[in-house]
Amino acid sequence: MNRVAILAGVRTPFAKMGTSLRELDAADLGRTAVAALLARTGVDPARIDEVILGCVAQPPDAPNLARVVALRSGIPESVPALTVQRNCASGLEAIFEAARRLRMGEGSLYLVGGVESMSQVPFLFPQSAARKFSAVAAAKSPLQKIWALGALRLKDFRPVPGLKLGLTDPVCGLNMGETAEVLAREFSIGREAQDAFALRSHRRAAASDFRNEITPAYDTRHGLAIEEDNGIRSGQSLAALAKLKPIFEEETGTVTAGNSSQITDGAVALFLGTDAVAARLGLTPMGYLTGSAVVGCDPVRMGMGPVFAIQRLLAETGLRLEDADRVEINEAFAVQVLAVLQQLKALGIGEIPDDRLNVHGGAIALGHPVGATGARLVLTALEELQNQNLNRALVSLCVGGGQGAAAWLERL
Amino acid sequence: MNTLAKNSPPPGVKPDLPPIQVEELGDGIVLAQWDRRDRHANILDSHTLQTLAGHLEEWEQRARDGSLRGLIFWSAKPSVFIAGADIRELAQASNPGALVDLGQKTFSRLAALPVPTIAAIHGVCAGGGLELALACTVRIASRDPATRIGFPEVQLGLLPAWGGCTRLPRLVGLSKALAIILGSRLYPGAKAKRLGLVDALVPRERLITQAQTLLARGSFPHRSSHLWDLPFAPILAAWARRKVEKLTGGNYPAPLVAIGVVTAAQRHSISDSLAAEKSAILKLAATDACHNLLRVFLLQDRAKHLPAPKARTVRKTAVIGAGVMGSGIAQWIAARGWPVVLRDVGAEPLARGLQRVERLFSQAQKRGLMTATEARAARDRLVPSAGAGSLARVDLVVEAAVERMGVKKALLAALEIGPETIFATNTSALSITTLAATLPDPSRLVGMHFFNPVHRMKLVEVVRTEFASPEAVDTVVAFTQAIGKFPVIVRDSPGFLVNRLLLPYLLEAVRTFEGGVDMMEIDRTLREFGMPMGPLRLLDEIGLDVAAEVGKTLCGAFPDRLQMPTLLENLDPSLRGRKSGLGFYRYKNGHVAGVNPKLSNRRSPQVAPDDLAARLLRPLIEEAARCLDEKVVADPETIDFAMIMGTGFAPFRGGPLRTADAEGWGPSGRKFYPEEKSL
Repeated sequence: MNRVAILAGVRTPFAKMGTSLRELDAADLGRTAVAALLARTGVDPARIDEVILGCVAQPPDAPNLARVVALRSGIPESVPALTVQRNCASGLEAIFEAARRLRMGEGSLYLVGGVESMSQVPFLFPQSAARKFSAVAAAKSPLQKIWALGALRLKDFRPVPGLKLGLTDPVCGLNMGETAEVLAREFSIGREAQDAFALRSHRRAAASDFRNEITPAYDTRHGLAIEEDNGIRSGQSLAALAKLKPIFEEETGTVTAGNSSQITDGAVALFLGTDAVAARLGLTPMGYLTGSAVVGCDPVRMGMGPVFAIQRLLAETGLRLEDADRVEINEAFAVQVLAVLQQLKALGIGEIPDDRLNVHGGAIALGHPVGATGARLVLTALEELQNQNLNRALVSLCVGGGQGAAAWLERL
Repeated sequence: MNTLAKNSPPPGVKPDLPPIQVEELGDGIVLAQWDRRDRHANILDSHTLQTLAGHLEEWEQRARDGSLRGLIFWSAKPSVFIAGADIRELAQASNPGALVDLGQKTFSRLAALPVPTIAAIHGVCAGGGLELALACTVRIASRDPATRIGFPEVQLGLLPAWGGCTRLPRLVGLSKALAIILGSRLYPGAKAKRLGLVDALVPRERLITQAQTLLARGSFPHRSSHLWDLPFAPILAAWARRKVEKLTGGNYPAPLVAIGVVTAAQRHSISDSLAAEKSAILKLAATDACHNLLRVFLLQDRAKHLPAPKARTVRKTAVIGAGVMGSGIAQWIAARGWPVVLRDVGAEPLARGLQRVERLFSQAQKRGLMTATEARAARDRLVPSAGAGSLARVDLVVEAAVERMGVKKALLAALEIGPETIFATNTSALSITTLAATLPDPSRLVGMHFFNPVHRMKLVEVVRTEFASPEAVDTVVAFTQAIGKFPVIVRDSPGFLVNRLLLPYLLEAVRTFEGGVDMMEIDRTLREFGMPMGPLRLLDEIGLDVAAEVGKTLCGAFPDRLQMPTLLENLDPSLRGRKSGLGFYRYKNGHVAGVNPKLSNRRSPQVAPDDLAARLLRPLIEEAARCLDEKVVADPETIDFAMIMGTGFAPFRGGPLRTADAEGWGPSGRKFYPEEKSL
């Protein structure tokens, strides 16, 4: 079987929803990252075997977002494209999809990654309204149309934010923040510990230099260049965090906007390929994907996903937690990461030293564009392994709806 | 019937093959296919009209005996239905009246055929081609970007005289007819349908079958003749006349004459109106304005087809510099269908350039020049690139960075390009020869000088140095043509051609102003002469700082005859022209809001000399003579063409050298065009 090499990667800056990247829709964001990756590597787009991108919101005006991004980035129409959705792990799933193909000898070069424009998730009419509008459209005579219009009520016009729907699990009826509060209660993780972890994320991110992985995005309507992540608060403090009110559980809650991941826009693009194609293209692999695992778990405690995924990953690869020089656990919520750490220890799987975990901060400071984050963690982890001349990194995410995903990255 | 597969055969095919091929479709329906074998386009010369007349003879007979039940006209050319009359034949005709009669009579016979006739239009349908279509019962057109329909005659100093002025108002009403004929533009299919020029749009592949279906159905739209326009005709005519006079200052007779003929058309019988068309066009064709406008048209054609045999195909391009010119060039190239990398030193200047690009695309979309999908695709072709990065796969790099030799040298030296990449520089002030000498391979550098604003000015000076290879020059010429601009080839010398001629005129205007003549009078005189704006207003438009820079270069190069006027020598930095709101004039929101009082009050007023226009234009003409003698350009036509297209020099006068010949302003009485040379 072929080794799966990650050959190069780039990402747009990550910007909080409604701020500097809000004028760019998901296809624009994706195109920015993909075009930059092609320009940086000089790869002829005709050599790509497929484009696979993760995207959760799947904009209605860009069906199969990966295809729209690919064509709009100048990739020939003969290159097929696929959009994948495994909620918060979609960016990682795109990598896994390409990896499966590569291992089987199907194709040799894949463009993967993830895109999310959370700013542009649409507002929706309730289904009751949709039915009534259809009836109006289907009515033949003007009189029938007027009659059909008469069925509409005020409540049919109240729009529902798609984002709110997307961040709520319909099976257990809890939104993501509520699942985090469940963990806070069950693992007795208090407000102070969560805020401290949040502060850690901002401090680490503020001390990091992401310029290598970032390509500028452009808001052409306003003539602005967006070159930096704007979620990082270099002056973040416990005092500031303490002032925030809990948003998912009144009075007794502990999860606030400050110790949760930010709702963010961004895109990531990576090249995955075989060693042979890397040599032909003159690209040095950044690292290799040497193990992957995806598991299902209780949707109410979706934040525990990484525990089970890491468990499965270690079992399948025979490696131990201590073998990871660096670990990236997506910071969906501070309490979620803390709960995962506690449980890994409790189950005897291992302890992750503080100086190896999320060394450049995480989604609390950088933001969590849900479809893209999985790919960003891989990119950041590989850059870190290269810069520090280390060998192995473990990447893991919890997934809304009750899943976990994990992967081993090695420099070999 | 495999008409779609036919392409125009290569040149060298016998020209005596009939231009119209007739095919029986069965059931008494005849398909008349236009296909001039020796040309890329179908045009209506006397031979073609006579051929049509011959067929009409037969069709009239068959209509009488019932064996002809319907007629469909269509074209075998891939993107032309009928492009109009043969301009050259018209211009050189010893008896133009006969040609007018031939067209009118033939189309009248077509209109009189007692069977329904359908024009199935795909591609360009202009002038005489549209007049033929108007003589048919029904017009259907293809839903295709190649389809463009209209009457361009007025732009050439003429008017539609084969029944266009007569039939159009009866078909679409007077106000639309005036707009179409005076507008002198070609409309895409959808707009043509909205105007009433065509009755239906169908996919190209279905044109013939749809025409057959319509003939089989046998029912056709009822035409109203729009007689209710008659009471409004005088008001419409007066309003149109006022608009035209404001735009043209009375220098262009054609639109005014057209207004007369078109507004009278519905009042008179068809034959009287046709007679009015004929007398109008004969009158117009004799005017200098018409001759000069036709010349400009033919020179545009010449520029479009300037041979470039060694040209290499350009697939990918890059533009360096996202300033006003760079972003304008990049947007134009992307809009025309080429991928372009737009590069600048950092993300911020790039962001500003991208905003300019975005505005240009929005404008184009708003004005209906591009659909939303086309604009999206065009925007996607433009890829921003901040900093460095290989351009190895780029075929043509256009450099539009800061006008400083050191910067350009360093930039070109640092660029990672392929072994075959051609460099084109948009510099207007620097010596391309000097720049080329610093390159390891100077044969690949050519000047490609665009004019501001790029999306409106069609001229490009292609500047060649002694080092430039024929491949490089031809590639730039061919690419210029491919993106829809007009190339003129110029030898590298200070100011190339247009700036070198323009500056002496502008500087003389400034000196005249410094001498005490009122600035508004100077500008008014030259506007009346036919310039789109006066010289001082033009300086404001170019930018006084830019003009001063170019002026310095030229005065430095030609100190014996050019000196900087004091005002531009010590230019107040706040005085930059329209872009800074203050120049010779004051500006508010980009429009003139009065004169600049600081400049006006300085000197003692003088009366303008009677021969002001001559005084200002003589230096331009003298410089043009030198350019010819120094072989900066190949012929006087190039100079006239370049000044008209690059500065808007009164087109009805035919350019500065035609003007010099007409007014006797050539140095030492020199004539630039020998007497015998006609069109």
